[in-house]
Formats: sequence, C-alpha cells, structure tokens
Amino acid sequence: MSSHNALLTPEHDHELESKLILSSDYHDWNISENFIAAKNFSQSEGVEFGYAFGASRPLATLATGANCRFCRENFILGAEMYGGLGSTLGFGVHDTAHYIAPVLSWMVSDNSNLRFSPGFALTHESNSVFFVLDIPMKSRISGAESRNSSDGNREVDHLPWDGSRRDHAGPLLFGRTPAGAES
Amino acid sequence: MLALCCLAAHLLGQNPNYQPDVNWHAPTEAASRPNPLSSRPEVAAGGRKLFIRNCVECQGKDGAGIEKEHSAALQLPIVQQQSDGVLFWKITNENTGRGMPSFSKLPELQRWQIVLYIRTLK
Repeated sequence: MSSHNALLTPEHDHELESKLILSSDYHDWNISENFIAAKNFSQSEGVEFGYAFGASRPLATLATGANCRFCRENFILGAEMYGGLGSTLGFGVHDTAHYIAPVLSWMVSDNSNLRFSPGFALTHESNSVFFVLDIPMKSRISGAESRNSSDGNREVDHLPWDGSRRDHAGPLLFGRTPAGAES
Repeated sequence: MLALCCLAAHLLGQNPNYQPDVNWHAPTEAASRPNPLSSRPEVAAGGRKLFIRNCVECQGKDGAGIEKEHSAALQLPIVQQQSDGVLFWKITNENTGRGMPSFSKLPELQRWQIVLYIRTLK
C-alpha cells in the first residue's frame, strides 16, 4: 500500500519535438514528407526520430456551383505511411513501428474538416490496427488565419510512431502544431 | 466628387488606396497560359463558391478589396487587364509581403475556376 500507483501519480512529460515538413503539389496530388525529431527530457534517452509521407487527392477537381456538403470536391482521399527511425542511441528501422493508413477527409463546413484514418501495422512492433478521427477547426485571429491544428495538406498528421527501439512500441499520438494556412 | 467616392468606398470597406506590388511578376511562360475553362462559362458558379470559401476574408464579399488587407478591388482595370495566366499564377503563388497566401492546395482546375469567376466581376 505504501508503493505509488503510477496512474495516480502526477507525471509531467517534458518533450521537445521538431518536424521538417515538406510538401509539393503535382497536378491534383499533394505529396507531403515529414521528418520528425523528438527529445523527451523526462527520460534519459536520446533523440528519437520518425518519418511520415503521404499522398492525397480530392475526389473531384472541379467545384460544382451548388452549395453542397456531400459533393465529391469536398472529399479528399489519400494514404500515409509513417514510422520510427530509431534514435541517437541507434538509428535505423530495426525494431521500430511502421504503419500504413488510408485517409479520408471531408470538408464538413468552410471552417472544419472531418478526417478519418485507420492505421495498419506493417511490423511486429506496431499495434495491429488503430483509428484516428480528427476535426481541425480554422479560425481567424487578428487578421491572421490560424487553425487549432495544422494544415492537413502540408503535414502528415497524427503520427503514431515510435522512434525508439523500446519493446512495447506503443503508438504515440503526436498533436499537430499550430500552423498557417497554406502553404 | 473624388473625395466623396473615396469616402463611399472606404465606408463600404473597399480599398481605394490599393497600390499593386511592382515586384510581384508572373514569369512570361505562366502569364501566357490560357484558361482551360474559358469555353465553359457555366463553371464560374463553382468559382464563386470557391471564392467565397477561400478569398472573401481578404478580398471582400464582392471582390471589392479590403484596405486593411492590402487587397485590390478585383473589378479595377489594374486587375482585369492582367491575363488569365497571371491571375492563375498569383492565386497559386504567395506574396507574403502583402499577406497573400498560396492556394496551390486547390486543384488546378479549381484555381482556374476562380480566375473565371474574377472575370465575371468586371
């Protein structure tokens, strides 16, 4: 009884995460590549690395005149792949989790998208399947457009990667960082 | 009379003081691109919808420009005299100094639709 219950013990992670976000548009396709580095200051471990890349395309490239929400142009279909690249203690893909995930995004309104993405494990270190549901909102603050999460076309989002070579390799949901609208 | 016009434009939220960015030029090749939708004026309605969705915040509801946003009144000859290719290029490529974002995220045809709609504002 005297031992601490980890669930009841307040624990604060201190982590620094950086992402190199590359994105290009080729005809009607958006191709995005991310390189991620994260340092957990709460644990004595090195800097973890991860990657993600994805391609997506709207279902229709011509907008209809009708003010509809279920028009094909409001849907974007794509696929993402992401995973860990080890850490400074051991760089590489060995013993890291990797996923492939189809993505469907629906523009619910002019200011918000609904994004659904089931992720499927590619390696034994990964969770077999998981689902990501994301509703980023766009708002306008003091003349600058911002979103409560990043631009989905530019960043391959919500990446459950684990750069380290830990055995459990549980998915880590990385929140999106605020970003400007279009890049 | 001119002062009254300026006052009216200002009250309506238009941008009578718009000055084009002389350093923002489309490359010659891009400027000469024709609008592939020019023979389909009916798709301008979709361009209007895209304009409302993406451009109204800075360009104003009827494209009259907003002074605070440094945006032009799209009805002005200084805008309408530009080729379709130039307008397409400017929609595609940002001009951060003037607060103009890139809309390259939109499919090409949808950007051409916006150009088509801008032509209806003449």
